[in-house]
Amino acid sequence: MKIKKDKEKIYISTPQGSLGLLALGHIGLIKWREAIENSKSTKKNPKNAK
Amino acid sequence: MQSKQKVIVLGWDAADWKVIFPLIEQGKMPNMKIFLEKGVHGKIKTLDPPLSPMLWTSIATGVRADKHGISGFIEPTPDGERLRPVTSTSRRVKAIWNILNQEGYKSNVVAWWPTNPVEPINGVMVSNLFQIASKSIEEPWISPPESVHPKDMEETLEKFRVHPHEITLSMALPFIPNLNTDKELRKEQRTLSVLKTLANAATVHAISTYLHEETTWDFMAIYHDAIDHFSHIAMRYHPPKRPEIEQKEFDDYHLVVEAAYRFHDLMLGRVLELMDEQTTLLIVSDHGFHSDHQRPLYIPREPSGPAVEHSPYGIFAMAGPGIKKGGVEVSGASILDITPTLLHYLNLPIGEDMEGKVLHACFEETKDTQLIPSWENVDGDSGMHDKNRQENPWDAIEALQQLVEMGYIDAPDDDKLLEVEKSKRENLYYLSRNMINGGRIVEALKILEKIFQESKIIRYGQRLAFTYLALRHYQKARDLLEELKELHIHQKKEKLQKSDDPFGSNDMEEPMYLQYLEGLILLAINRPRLALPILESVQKKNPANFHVAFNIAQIHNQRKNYASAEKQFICALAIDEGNGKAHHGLGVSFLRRNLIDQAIEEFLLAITNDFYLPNAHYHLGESLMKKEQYDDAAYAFEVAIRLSPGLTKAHKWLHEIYTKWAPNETLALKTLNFLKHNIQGEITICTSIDGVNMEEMFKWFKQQDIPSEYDNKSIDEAKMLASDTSWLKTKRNEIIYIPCHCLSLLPVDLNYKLIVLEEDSAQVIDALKEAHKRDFKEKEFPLELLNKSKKDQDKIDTWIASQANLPVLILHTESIKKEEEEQAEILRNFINFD
Repeated sequence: MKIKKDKEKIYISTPQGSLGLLALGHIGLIKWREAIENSKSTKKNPKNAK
Repeated sequence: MQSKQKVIVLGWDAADWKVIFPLIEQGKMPNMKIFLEKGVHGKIKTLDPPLSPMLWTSIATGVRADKHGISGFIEPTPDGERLRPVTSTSRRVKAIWNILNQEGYKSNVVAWWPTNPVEPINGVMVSNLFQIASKSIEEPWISPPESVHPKDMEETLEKFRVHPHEITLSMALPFIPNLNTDKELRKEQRTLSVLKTLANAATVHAISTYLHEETTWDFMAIYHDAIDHFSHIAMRYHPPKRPEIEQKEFDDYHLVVEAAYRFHDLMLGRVLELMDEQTTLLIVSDHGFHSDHQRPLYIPREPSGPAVEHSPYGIFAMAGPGIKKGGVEVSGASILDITPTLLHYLNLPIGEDMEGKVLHACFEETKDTQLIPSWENVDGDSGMHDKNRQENPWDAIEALQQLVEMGYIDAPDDDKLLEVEKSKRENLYYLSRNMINGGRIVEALKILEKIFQESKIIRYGQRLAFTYLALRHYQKARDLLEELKELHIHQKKEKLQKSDDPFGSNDMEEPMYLQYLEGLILLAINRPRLALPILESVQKKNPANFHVAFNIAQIHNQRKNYASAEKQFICALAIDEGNGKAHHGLGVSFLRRNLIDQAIEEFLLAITNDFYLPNAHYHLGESLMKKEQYDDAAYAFEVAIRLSPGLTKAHKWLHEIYTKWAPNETLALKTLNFLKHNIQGEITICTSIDGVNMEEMFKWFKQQDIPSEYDNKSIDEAKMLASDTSWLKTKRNEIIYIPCHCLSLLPVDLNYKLIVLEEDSAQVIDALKEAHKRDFKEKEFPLELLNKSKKDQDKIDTWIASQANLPVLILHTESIKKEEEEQAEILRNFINFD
């Protein structure tokens, strides 16, 4: 069985989320919610936008 | 110190191979494909009734509901005044995590049904109520009391809950693509149910991946109810489209089920990624879900009505160290086998009070099963609740509401006490069905008699009538049938009076069960000629009903109309291709027509689909005997005996094999001992095709001073063999007459010697012509009579072929006339009376 802990993997997460992100479990959830927070702060302060 | 074998049990409620395999073929479940190739898999048989709380508790304990105590979705509160979702405090026996707790294992249990309130195990337990969001996202989401153990884990895990309102359009689109353009669709109840189910699944998965990575554990049990919920919402829209489904609804919801399985495949992929090579994963479902032409056309408006969508076979798949590899298919699994199999795998003993078995076929190496009388008597910290605990009923009210929404239960009445009473009765009904399913029919009967007497609910009466039939209380079954007919008329009148539209009653909602019951009663009391037209009329209205086709086929088999039987068995198999009993019936039909290869094929299919069919193993043995494959035949008979130890006819065959064909003194002695204890004596019977002058022959027996009996009384007794065989045992040391069509009714707990009387066919035809002279004109070629004689001869040959160690003597009337003394001597030596 393939077996790799991949906490260090870079996930592409957007505020819209995806089933793929949900399927990653808690890591996906954390990344998704971070993306939502980032998006909110970007809206509040457009200078933060990268 | 050697580390413990780690095991994950992943429960997918209602997962079904009939959906999974096509998706794998289309490349839509790649993780499942990889997982299956690494280990073993097979169908798993559910229990009746197929209700999830009962079944998941059986999976976790290895016993049925009357032992484990969880018999339905709801239960009365300890004060008896209200209802609540069934709780973990009602479970009376140890679950596998309790046994493992005692043995020093650390377990994480997530959302298993029912685990609220959580148990104080060594590890983490998150209850089945924790993930349910009962209020809007603006309001605080307060976890139900005692839904996380240890309590200090609650705050962390709450962060991984997904509220249905959080589900975004891009997450929902794979389920309902039209949401993109149709804003009205977003308000639909079915759409909201899809979002809610997806949110729950995401929560359970996120909690389990967190516990997987961030805690130390030896055993994890994770339960997902999402496939069941998605299927109840939208299986009716799953392709192929059925004519009664509106195109718009089909377009909107036809991808829900596929997306559900694909999402589970994605989650499985993540579990596989997180696992190390030493961890074993077992995926199991509690039942399947009809996804094809067997999808019911309507859902009964009764408690647990949606369960008609469940199919009797779920899935199991297992991979890990010591498990066979390469996608090996394992047959004969029951959901009761999961706990015994896991205990065996972990080198722990099985409780003798467990009702399942070890699935040895899953393992690379065979080892002996260790047994202990019961795990319930083993002391130690099991992490179970104190048995005296009581619960506040209102803690779980939201979950109760969800069950109402899902259609599993009716909304509570205003009169709550009456509702509690009704629910208690309903739970007793489920319990009685579960007991019948486990063979405890007498106990179930008492329950059914009580609840039918109290309520006069036709469903209960119907089940009671079937139970009377099973116990051969035919008169009671007939009386009850009459009562049910009256109740039915009365209730129909009431319904019409209440309804504004007298034509509103949908014909589809009358499954003609009373006629069906009547047909079965007639069949049971050996009136197949009367039963057949009734069942055929039921079949006209219910062409897709498996049981009706199956019973009609059984009648044809019983009447030896094998071609008609085959047609009906094939019809039944077109409805349910995986039904073991129908494959068995078809096999018997082939066997009796001497189509041995086809028969063997059907018996193997029967066993593959349902291992617990002793007669299928028995008939496989009988077929293999005909192929002279004695070792294989012996194995089939041995299995039949293991499943049904009193199967005397299998012991008879084994005795023949071990004495004649594959000699083995020890085994021959063993079977002989069984037969000595179980065979009630030896009877000498005489038969012939119709038209042979039996009266003359029996006169000749008397002339030779050979005790024999042939008069009207004895002929009548022979014809009534189906209902009474007791008189046979008094007929030792005399020849008795049995008409050829009654041979198959002879009981198996006697040994027989058979004398077949033969006569020239011309004489037989003349005798038949005389007997049927009204039907035949002079000089007409008696083709029908010849056919009848041939059929009679087939009946004799077939019965002989189906008997082990049967001594047969053929006497020909011509020989008797010509060599009277010699023939008499042969006969005396053959019968060898005391």
